[in-house]
This record gives sequence, structure tokens and C-alpha cells, in this order.
Amino acid sequence: MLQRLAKLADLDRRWLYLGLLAVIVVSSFLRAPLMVRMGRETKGYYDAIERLDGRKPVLLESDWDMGTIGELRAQFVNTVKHLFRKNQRFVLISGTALGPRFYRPMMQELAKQYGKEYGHDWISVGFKLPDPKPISIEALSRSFQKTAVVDDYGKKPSEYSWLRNVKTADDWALAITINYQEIREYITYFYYSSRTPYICGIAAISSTTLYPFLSSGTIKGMLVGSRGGGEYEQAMGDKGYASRFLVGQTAGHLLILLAIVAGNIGQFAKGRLAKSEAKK
Amino acid sequence: MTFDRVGEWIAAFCVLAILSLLWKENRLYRIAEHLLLGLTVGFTAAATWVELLQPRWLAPWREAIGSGDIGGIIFGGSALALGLCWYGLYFKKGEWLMRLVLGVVLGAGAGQALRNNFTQQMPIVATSFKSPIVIQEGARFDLWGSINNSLFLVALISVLVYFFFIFEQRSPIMRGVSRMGRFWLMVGFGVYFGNTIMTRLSVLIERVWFVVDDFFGKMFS
Repeated sequence: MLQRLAKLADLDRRWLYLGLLAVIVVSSFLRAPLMVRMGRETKGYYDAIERLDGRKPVLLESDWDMGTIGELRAQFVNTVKHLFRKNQRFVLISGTALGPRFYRPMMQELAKQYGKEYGHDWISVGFKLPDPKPISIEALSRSFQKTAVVDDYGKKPSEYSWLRNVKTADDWALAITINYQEIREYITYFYYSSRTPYICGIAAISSTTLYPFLSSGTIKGMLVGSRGGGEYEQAMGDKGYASRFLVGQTAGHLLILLAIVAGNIGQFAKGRLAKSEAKK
Repeated sequence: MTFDRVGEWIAAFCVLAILSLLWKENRLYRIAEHLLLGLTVGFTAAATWVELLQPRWLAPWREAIGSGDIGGIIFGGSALALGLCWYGLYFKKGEWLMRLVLGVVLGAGAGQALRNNFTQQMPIVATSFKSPIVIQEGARFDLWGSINNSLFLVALISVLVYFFFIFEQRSPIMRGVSRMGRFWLMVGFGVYFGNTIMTRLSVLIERVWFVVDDFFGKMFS
């Protein structure tokens, strides 16, 4: 028995990969979404958008691309849906060259679905926040018009009546970033300087260090990875891709937990076997 | 077959080629890896020119040249000269040019970091001063709030003690508190690692679902 269990410690890792792929493939056929309870991070994010009164526009920085699509696309889609439902005008901007390539087709689809019109309900100014981020975001907080220059259609933002008076960080109702990690410069140049609230959607890997900012109130809300996307989607009464994604995530996590337990049992058995052989 | 469908075929091939590394190192994986890197670099360069440099630098500079705006011409020319200084890196004699602009960027970065640290970290320090006894409105004792705050304070103090290197921790009390600090740090690292797994798994799930749903799903439907 011990010998059999000891084999678990030396299991070829490729079996684990195969098992993980199998679990993910099977989970893709399960259509029933997992029900989740909204965490305080998601609630803060949801409430910040819910509180908007439409008097000032929202700044939405969308930086997700092929590397973060799994976690961030659902966050982005649900944020845009929420803004559209609230009839809240917003400006899309990006801090990565690939960002607009990913959000533009998504925006066309969502605008069509909600009957929203480019230029009237939202505009996109594309990739205008290159590295180093602190310098770009400071420039954005000082002068939106000079930082954006032109939108996707080559028009100056000031040509849109609802953006004519948007100049500094004071003129935004809310700043949102959907990025692999948070962009803390928004705390300095938007929240601290102008009291413009800041919320963010981030990958789970970057979330741990952000909780102190959430507790101190400098970040009003946060969507953490695919869990945040699923919670937010359900908070808006939908059960779509983001909620279904949680089934795959949970199944994968369960398998990893099982593998950890099996590996530990294997190591334990290996140790016992070595001891008993030493006694002989 | 539409153009989109061809794109999906290429995408599915690349996903499977990249995942083939899980079996073992192979040429198919290398091809897909180089394709991804080449496309990303090429696309980033093109997008930087079209979306950033063209509207924010070239167009205003050309406009300034056209209208004879001396200020605009000097501004655009200086930006070009400073930008070109970065390429001094590739010439031994011109390396100082790169250091010149690097100095400007580092100086600006250091100045901003000072302000950023103050504005970002100070509110966190201020909210760390929590009372272990939480009294809500109407003089009602909040048990869970008190437990939360007490745990927070224990973790905060013990971790601070762990990083107390001024003198040797000989006292058993100090050593015990320090060990507790290490425990809390381990909890933090565990959370960090758990979140890392969550992110990596999300990337895998999205791609596998793409192959299963969008690619094979459409093929067999």
C-alpha cells in the first residue's frame, strides 16, 4: 500500500496537465453558472458606478489584451453595460498599444446591443497613455484635451459638446482602470488632488497588495480577476460568460487542491517507506 | 470560408502549438512563440506610430511648419532631437546622449515617486491606527469589528517586530512575537500565490474554451 502511495510523489507532471485540460474542457459544457455572493471589493465598484448622476463624464482606461483577456474582458464588458444602463457618458482611453485593438470590436457590439451612439454616449481616444505611466497620467490630469488630441475618428474631444469643458482631473465623475495591475497614479493625480473617485478592475495576481488602498478608501472599489467579473455580472442580474467562467475556475482549483493533497500523501508515504527500509 | 474563420483556424493552431510545450519542447511551440513575439512587436510599433506619435507629435509639428509658428517648430524639433538621443546607446561615442535623456526621465520619475509615496502610503498609515474595541452608533459594541481590528493590530505589530533588526532578539517574548510575524507573512504569501494560480488558470481556461467552443464548436455545429 505504502509503495503505491509513494508513487504519487513521483507522478509525471504531464498527467496533471492532462487532467487540468480535461477538467476545463468538461466544464465548458456545463451551462449552469455558479452563484456567488458579492464581496465588499465588488460592492464598492458597483456602488461607485451606481452613484453616478450623469452630470460629468467617466474616464475608462482599458488596457486588457490577449494576455489578460480571461480575467479582464468580463470586467470590461460588464462595466460598459453598467455605464450604458445608467445612461452615463464616458471616454475610453488606453495605456497599451494593443488595448484599443481589443476593446473597439467589443464596443461596437455592446453599443449596438444597447442602442448607443458613438460621439453622443461615448468616445474612444485610443492609445494615449504610454510609459512611463506617472508622467502620462499627470499629463492627463492636467489637460485631457492636450493628452487625447484626437479621437478614433480624428476629431478633437472639444468638438463634442459634452466634452468641451472637460480639461483637468476635476472634470471627471469617476476614473476607472481595467488593467493587469492597478495604476496608483490615479490615486495621486485624480483622487488626492481632485477628489475624483477611482475604482479598478485588475488581475487576481495583482490584487493582494491593493487591499490596504481599499481599506483606506483611496480606491473605492475593485474587481478581482474572474471572480470579480462573475460577481459584478450577477450583481447586475445577468448570468452569462463571466458567471459560467467561474465553473471552469472552480473545477481547476479543485483539481489543483486534490493534486496538492495527493502529492503530500505521496511524500508522506515515501518518507515512511524510507524509514521502514532503514530499520530493516 | 470567411476571413474571420481563417483567423480562428490560425488562432486555434497557435493555441495548440503553444500548449504542446506541456508535452515537451518542440519546433511547433518555437514557431508559435516567435510568431507571437514578432506580431506583438510589429503591431506595437505600428500602433505607437499611428495612435501616438502621428497625432501628438508629427501632425502638430507639420502644422507649425506650415503656419510658420516658430514656437511649435522648436518644440517639435526638440522632441525629435531628445527622442533620437535614446539611440546614442548603440554608439560608444554617443552613449552620453542617452544618459542625458535618461537623467531627465529619472529625475522626473524620482520627483513623482516622492509625491506618489506620500499621497498613496500616508492614508494607509493613517487607517492602520485602529481601535481594538469598536463601538457603533448608539453605544452598541461591535463584536466582529473588534475581533477584526484586534487581529489586524496583532498582525501589524508582530510583522513590524519581525523586521526589527536594530538589536538581536534575545528575549523569548520578542522571539515569540517575531515568529508570529513570520506566520502572518506566510499567510500573506499564501494568498499571493493563490491569486497567482487563479490568474494563470484564467488564461488557460479562456484559451481552452476558445478552442472547444469557438473553434471545434463551430466546426461540428
